[in-house]
Amino acid sequence: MSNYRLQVLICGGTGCVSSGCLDVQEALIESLRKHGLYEETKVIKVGCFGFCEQGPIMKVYPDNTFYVRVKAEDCAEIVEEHLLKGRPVDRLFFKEPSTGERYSHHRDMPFYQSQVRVALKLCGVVDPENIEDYIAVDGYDALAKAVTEMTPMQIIDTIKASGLRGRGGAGFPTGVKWETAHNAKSDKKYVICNADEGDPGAFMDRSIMEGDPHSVIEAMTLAAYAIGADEGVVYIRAEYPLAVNRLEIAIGQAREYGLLGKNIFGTDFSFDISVSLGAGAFVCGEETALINSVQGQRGEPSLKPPFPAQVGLWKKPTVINNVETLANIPQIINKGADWFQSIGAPGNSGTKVFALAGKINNVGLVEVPMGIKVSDIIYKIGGGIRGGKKFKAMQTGGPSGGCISDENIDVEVTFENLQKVGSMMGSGGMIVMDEDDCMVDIAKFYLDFTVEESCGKCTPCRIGNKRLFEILGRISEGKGKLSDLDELRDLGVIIKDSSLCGLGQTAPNPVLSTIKFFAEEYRAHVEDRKCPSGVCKGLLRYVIIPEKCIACTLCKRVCPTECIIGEPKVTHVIDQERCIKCGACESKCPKRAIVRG
Amino acid sequence: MGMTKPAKKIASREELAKLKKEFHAVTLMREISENPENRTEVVVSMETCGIKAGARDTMLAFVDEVAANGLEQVSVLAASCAGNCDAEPVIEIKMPGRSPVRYKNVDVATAKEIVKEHLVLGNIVERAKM
Ligand SMILES: Cc1cc2nc3c(=O)[nH]c(=O)nc-3n(C[C@H](O)[C@H](O)[C@H](O)COP(=O)(O)O)c2cc1C
Ligand code: SF4
Ligand code: SF4
Repeated sequence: MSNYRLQVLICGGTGCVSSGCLDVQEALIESLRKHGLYEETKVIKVGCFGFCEQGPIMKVYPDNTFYVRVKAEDCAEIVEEHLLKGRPVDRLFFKEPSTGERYSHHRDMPFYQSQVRVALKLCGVVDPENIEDYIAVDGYDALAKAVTEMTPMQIIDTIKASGLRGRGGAGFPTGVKWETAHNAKSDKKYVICNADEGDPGAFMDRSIMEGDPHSVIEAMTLAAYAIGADEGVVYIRAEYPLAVNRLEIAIGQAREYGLLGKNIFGTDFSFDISVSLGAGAFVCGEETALINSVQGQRGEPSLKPPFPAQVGLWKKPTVINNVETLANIPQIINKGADWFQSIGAPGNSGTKVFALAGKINNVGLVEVPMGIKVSDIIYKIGGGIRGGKKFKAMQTGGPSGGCISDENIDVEVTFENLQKVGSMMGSGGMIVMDEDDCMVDIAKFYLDFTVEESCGKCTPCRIGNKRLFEILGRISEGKGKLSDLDELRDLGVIIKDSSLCGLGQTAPNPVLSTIKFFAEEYRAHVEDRKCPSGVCKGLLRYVIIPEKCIACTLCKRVCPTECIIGEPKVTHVIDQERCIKCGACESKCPKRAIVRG
Repeated sequence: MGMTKPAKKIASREELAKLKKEFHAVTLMREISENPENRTEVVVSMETCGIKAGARDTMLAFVDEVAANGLEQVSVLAASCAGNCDAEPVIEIKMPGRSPVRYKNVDVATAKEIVKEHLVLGNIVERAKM
């Protein structure tokens, strides 16, 4: 074997593919060839490094240099200067927006320093399309150890002792679920991996599938051995073509090595996995709806109990676990339950991956120990609020969650704590909002999503959420009444109590939490007919402050509807009747005389 | 980027361990680079005059010799340390907790000697020392 002098990793997650990483790879290889360095350099397309906003990201070994926002045009310089002569290209280092400091190594960057990587450990580290990389870092050794040296009950006990809880949203103890399925008597059992990930803005499961598919395959096989299943299904949305492709490659390679199929590791344990594509309905991520969908029926939830672990796919005992839950499992078997318990908080061991987005400096995928403060995620990892604005709220749990306000910003992230402050863990979306965001508008946005996604099977969810949405619409148009606020609260609680599945049971959460923590803002909409953040167009007015106006006519000239009245030396006014609230005048005024009022 | 050889079904934990060892040769570089303070570094000066004097061959010789001797905690790096042209190729050995040692006019044969003597046995190669 020829020995590589250099290894260059380029992230090839969906995020970076859309920002051009394939062109970067091509340009790099071309430059390497030109300088005669191609033979000694291994170029690897890896999964997501998490720092998606800075993509495409390139890492150079053995220097361990971390380049951000690399373009195809940069590759010639990287090769000539750095790879050939050892002079790193400083201008491609990450620059911390808040301090202006540049970092050449990722581990020095604040974004990575507070992170602990378990589920994402191998994302951006191994080549997801090559099983050899995974085996090289102890891949499939947990499985080897389990099937040749451990009994199914020993595995279940280890998972129970680790305290691992489901990362798909509900936080149910994984070991207990496995034990139920193990104890169920049946000639046939199944393991399902839930890779539906319908939460808007969430992409942790996709990133794991794209960056480290073998961990998921190994974990499903471990689950199968523990409960006595011989068939597995990955239910994944068809909108994730890259993840589907990598998963299928990985399954094929695992079969070639005999890690899936008959007589795994020479034992009489056999297991294989198929891939089932979902059409992308949010409710299909709910486990009973998912099972119906896999069976070719309508993706509608059914009543629980019985739980899938007792009566699941084709009415057989079935363990359903989320992608991220599974990604933790090989390491728990390898390193033991105590190791896992040593990370995180009591009753909430381990880590959680979040998709950090919104008005924050560092956007991307972050993995943090449970128990970390929300404020640390925002300020230490996220680098604070974009543009130096003021923090207003953080939405967690997606359409099922709620908003964490400033008063709760120091809450430590656990399943229970987030519920206590009116939000929830959910699958891991974290959207930061600043003073420019309107909380009524946010609630409306999420409700719009759930109304659209309700399967319609039960009335409270189908009709109740629609009513909530209509009331919010009224409020945002300045037609709300004070009694609307009570109605939102009452109706919200009824919907939560009487819906069949988790979708309806949580859909009112964004409304209830914003109304609780931002009551003032709701009242401003109905009593003063004002949207304090200036977002709700129905309530928005642009006005010119006469004292500040110097009558320069600049605003008049940009107004598309010519509704600004004034001449040189005559103070201008906006004709509210004709104003379409486009905001063009506001940014043009040199004296900032035009404000939202 | 496919697999380098046709796979064979793994029939035991021992067989897996053997494969791991083989494949690990490739991922090792990424692993030790994450904790660079624990590794020994061979830094080869790659200035234009160094390249002219054969620094590229010297560098590749180090890469191959380090691998051939199974030195897992050694990285071979390029750098632009300004030396003087007569001394090129110049290299430097940096071991954790020891003061760095510089060598001059390191051709392929000297590179091999440095790996055997300095990196494996811990003896400085006096004749090439700077
Ligand atoms: C409306 C709705 C959507 C859901 N979507 C997902 C999803 O996309 N992915 C997921 O893993 N779990 C989802 N769940 C949770 C699943 O029902 C189930 O609890 C989970 O897959 C169990 O795996 P875990 O214990 O590993 O978390 C959803 C639940 C509801 C009510
Ligand atoms: S709560 Fe909503 S999504 Fe769930 S079953 Fe009822 S109508 Fe369907
Ligand atoms: S907001 Fe737009 S339409 Fe209204 S006055 Fe300003 S420029 Fe004209």
